[in-house]
Amino acid sequence: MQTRKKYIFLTFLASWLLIFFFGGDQLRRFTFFSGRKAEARRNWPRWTDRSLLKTFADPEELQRDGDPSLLSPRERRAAWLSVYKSSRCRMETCFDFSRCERNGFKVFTYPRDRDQPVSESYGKILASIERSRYYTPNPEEACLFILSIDTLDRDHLSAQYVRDVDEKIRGFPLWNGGRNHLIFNLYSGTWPNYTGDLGFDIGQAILAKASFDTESFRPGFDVSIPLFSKDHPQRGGERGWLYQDSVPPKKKYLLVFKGKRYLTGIGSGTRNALHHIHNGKDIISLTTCKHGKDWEKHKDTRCDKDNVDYEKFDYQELLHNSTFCIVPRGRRLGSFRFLEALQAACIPVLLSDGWELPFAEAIDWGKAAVVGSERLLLQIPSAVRCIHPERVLAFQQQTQFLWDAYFSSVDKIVHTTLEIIKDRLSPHRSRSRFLWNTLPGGLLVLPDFSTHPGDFPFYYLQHGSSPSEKFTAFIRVVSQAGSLSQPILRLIQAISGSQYCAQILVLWSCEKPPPPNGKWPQTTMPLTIIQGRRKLSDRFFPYTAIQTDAVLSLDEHTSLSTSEVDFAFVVWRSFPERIVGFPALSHFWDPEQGRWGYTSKWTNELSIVLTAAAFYHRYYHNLFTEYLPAGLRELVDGLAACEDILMNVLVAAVTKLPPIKVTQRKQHKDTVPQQVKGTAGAAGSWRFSQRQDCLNQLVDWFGYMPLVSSQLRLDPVLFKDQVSVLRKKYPRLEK
Amino acid sequence: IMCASAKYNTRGPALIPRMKTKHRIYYITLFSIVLLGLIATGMFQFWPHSIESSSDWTVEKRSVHDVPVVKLPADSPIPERGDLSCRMHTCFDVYRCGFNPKNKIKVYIYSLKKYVDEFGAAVSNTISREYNELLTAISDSEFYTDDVNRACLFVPSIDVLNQNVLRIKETAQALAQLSRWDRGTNHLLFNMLPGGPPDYNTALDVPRDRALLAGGGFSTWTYRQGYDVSIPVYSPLSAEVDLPERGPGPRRYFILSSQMALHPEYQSELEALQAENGESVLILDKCTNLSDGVPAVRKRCYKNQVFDYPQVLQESTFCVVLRGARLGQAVLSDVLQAGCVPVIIADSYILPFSEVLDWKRASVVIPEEKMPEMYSILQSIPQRQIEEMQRQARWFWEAYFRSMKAIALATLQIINDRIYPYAAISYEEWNDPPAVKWSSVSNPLFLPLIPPQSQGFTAVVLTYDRVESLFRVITEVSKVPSLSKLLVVWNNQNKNPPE
Repeated sequence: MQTRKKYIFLTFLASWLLIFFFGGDQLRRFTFFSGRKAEARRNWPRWTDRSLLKTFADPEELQRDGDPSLLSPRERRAAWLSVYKSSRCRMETCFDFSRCERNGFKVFTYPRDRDQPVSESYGKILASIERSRYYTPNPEEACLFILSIDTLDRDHLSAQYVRDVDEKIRGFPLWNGGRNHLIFNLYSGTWPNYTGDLGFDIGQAILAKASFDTESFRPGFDVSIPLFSKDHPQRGGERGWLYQDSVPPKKKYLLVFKGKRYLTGIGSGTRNALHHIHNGKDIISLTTCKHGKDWEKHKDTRCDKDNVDYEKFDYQELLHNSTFCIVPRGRRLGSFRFLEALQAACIPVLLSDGWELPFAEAIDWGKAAVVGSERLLLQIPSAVRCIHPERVLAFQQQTQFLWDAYFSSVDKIVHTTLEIIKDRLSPHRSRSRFLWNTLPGGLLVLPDFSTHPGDFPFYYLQHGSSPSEKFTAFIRVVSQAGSLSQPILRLIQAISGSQYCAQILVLWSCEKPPPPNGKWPQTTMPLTIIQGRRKLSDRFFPYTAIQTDAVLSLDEHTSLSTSEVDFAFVVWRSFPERIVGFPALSHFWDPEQGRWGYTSKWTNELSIVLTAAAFYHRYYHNLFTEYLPAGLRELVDGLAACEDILMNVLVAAVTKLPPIKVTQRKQHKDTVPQQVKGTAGAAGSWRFSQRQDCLNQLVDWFGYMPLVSSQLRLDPVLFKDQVSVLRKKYPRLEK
Repeated sequence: IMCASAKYNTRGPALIPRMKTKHRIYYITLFSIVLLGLIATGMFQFWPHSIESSSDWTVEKRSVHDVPVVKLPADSPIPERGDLSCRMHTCFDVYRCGFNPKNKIKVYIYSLKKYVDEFGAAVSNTISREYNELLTAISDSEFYTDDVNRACLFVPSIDVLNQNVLRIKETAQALAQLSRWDRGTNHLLFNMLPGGPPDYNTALDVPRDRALLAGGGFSTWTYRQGYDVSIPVYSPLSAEVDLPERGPGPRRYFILSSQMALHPEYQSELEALQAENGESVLILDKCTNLSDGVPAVRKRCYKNQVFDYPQVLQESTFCVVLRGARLGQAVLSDVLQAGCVPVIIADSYILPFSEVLDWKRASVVIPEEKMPEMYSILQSIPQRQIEEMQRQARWFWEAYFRSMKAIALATLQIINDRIYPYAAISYEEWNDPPAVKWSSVSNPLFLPLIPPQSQGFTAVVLTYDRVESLFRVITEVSKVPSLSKLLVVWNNQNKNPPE
């Protein structure tokens, strides 16, 4: 009994203590608040006479904001030219727009001097420009000029440093004080303070520089580019490391860093502090003192232990297994780590105060990176811990999108730079931030086509709209007969029976003139004949006559029924960014020959849908004609039957998705090979090998194989089901 | 649960009857003490809330004329001129804005004072109606704190909205004597009409050292990107006139110019456009022969025709916003309110809230040199896009231009986003009008990734009780070669799953 009482007493005591313990906080607050109760929270007073207060400016003054004594607008602009120079350059004052009006945006690269070899990276930059669709070899028509002098490394201790740039530049008759010039730079300044100094006078030239600091950056004029290594691929580029979305998106480590620690000098402050956040569990922050020749001279007490820890982890392993990666400043503001983390889908946590982020004029970094403050390093762990998983997932995907759209190759970096500058020339015809930051990215969205997201095949979901409900049938005629064959007449009949058809266009690519109007079948559908230039790439020219979002591309020999067309169009409206069609091919890697092959045999996979019968968005005509460089189209014109492969490669490169095959009633006859079969087997195999060649040349140009395989075919819901024909929407498909 | 209740049954009730009276009293006292403690804790929990909610009616009721007067000695210090190289990491003290779970900065407002010079002459109007509204909005917002020691951002109550109604040197002196001034670190000034004759600077001329400036009418040369905030020039007509939203679509005029006192050069360029394109271009100006009592600001005239302003703006598809003596124009706000697409012709102008707003979706910016081509440029914009811009323009006005409150909160939010970037408001939240937010789909898995085949798939089987059919499903599914894992979700809580 006695013991029980004791126990009960103890329990009460314990609970009393507990209440005090947990409630104590409230109690303390209570005393705090009761002390302040008398004054309460002092809000901004509600003045009794607030309605009588004067307005900040007389309405008349607000609306009549003029002063006749001021300079006239024209005089003012002229005066700006002399005031806002060099460090205060803006496009209005330091760039000659008139050069770009005559011939559009054309870029000229100075001829290369044989005695003066350029570095690997600069060679790649120049090659990228020469590969771009803006390149011109003629300085007369150029709008932007690029030096052949390697200006990438301006650290005069470096081996790549080019001397006497000033003198060389002065020798160029085109230099013109640097007006309309674009200068690329990756490294500027040198030990000990690594300033932005380039060691020569850039005059009025635009600077595209890595590690730009916000203070010397001239907004709207300069371009900040990422730091990339000399091994960065010229084209194509590696893909990102995120192969699938994992939910929840957290990885093994929360936050990692592995890198050098500077013992002295600029940038050492940030890196010396990094070890503070290391906890050995989910936050791994490793530094080594080993760098340079004389690190042991400056070595401090931590160095030996740090160096041992440093060896315990593998950098690649950390990159693969961490949700966030710290990207601190090095000696300069930008570092290789930035692109590495971006590719690895390891969300960059930037600790580089005052860094003008790469392409920040276009890219919204808030969606892909955490911009931390060097001063608040110790808050970083708790800050990133608080980021919600869905946001982490979005961050990860955005890193991959940005990497793939703008950074994975030198081509992309250079082309992004050019497009940003081009967008400034006509602000009303430029990409909005939305277009830059949404798949498939700014490079693939041509503002000359439209600046309205609803006109492109990519944004229907985000935009809350859907593609137009009609399509344009586009038939190409190449046969030499000069008269209308039976198949084409039947085709026109079948298409004009479709409820979704808006018009029929016929591209007449024969030597003989098209038959007169009376010879064409009489349909209610408007029928237009376009005289082609007899080039294969003509078929994807953006004709103004195409007004609907959807294009049904057809060959004269194609045989389709109205039901097939209707169903395919309904499918396309659900997948407006892809090619939806009937006959399909697939590609494969041929390990024996070491090249890509393609096959039209009946396989279980497909990656190409022939444009002899396919729906796609009309924007792809613009991409084909304007985005691809002329050289590629010439290649297509030179080869037989390569244009549809190029179209498929292009669409796959843009969407990263395979085309879609739909139900087909009859076997589509790839008629041309059959004809050839009749004449000579050799010619057939010639055509086949040409197509194969074409595929390999395209892969070479893109730098990777963009085609994606699929095993999918879409059929109508009740297709071949054991139900009454009357229930079926497309009964004719089964006949 | 079952274990706990069993214990209660065996021991709990048996305990009480056996106790003696003396002990019982003892226990009851103990119990009541504990109970009291609990009640007290509960009450304290709610206490602070009741204080906060009562704060609304404890605000002072005073007149603006009763505020304390501060005399500024002629030799009191003047802050340095604004530092053009200031950025958040160099001039802003982030340590004041600690990490907090809400990720909100704390803003303190200095109490209102009336500043006079040595001779007793006022330095400026004590406070304007708009600045009072702005401070009220901040005070009512989540950002506000009345504790100067916890504040991260300080807003002086000295009204500098309009530079023309204040004395520059004395205002600067007034700023410098603020209790936490410290070279202007973390201080935020709001200014809408900067500069004055003859050169009309594009930023406030009052020396302000490191203070942040929320200014209307910045040019690219005075705007410190990532530090200052570009704000609109508030148009008091916004509050006065109720323009109902007009559905997007073609309107009577194509281009309309409604500004008064335009520079003759602009005027003649506009007239040239009108001569070329006829009636679709309308150029309005001040009315000369208005009867008395009609406010001149609410009327515009073209020849003898009189139009109501700002209603006439709703009659046009595009409305020209030209620079005047200053870059920021109040007419921009009126134009957006009318759902007219602004055509902004003001080289070097930093558009309001350009750090977060995507103006390409709501306006057309045309370089001054290209004014003669304006008509053809605007004609090339597809109708669908114009309609969207009209909607977007109206949405910008509703969200960010409508009132001083909207302007104040957007400014604070921008600064907040810089300090807590990982909790920042996204592009979509800033820019998408509600209509788009409802109709659009944001796919959380937006990257077109095709999962690798080698991974196989996970089968998830929901089951309640039917073990037999569950086993059948498991047997069938497990035959599939690409199955990598099978997950059974047992939904029957009353029964354990079979072993």
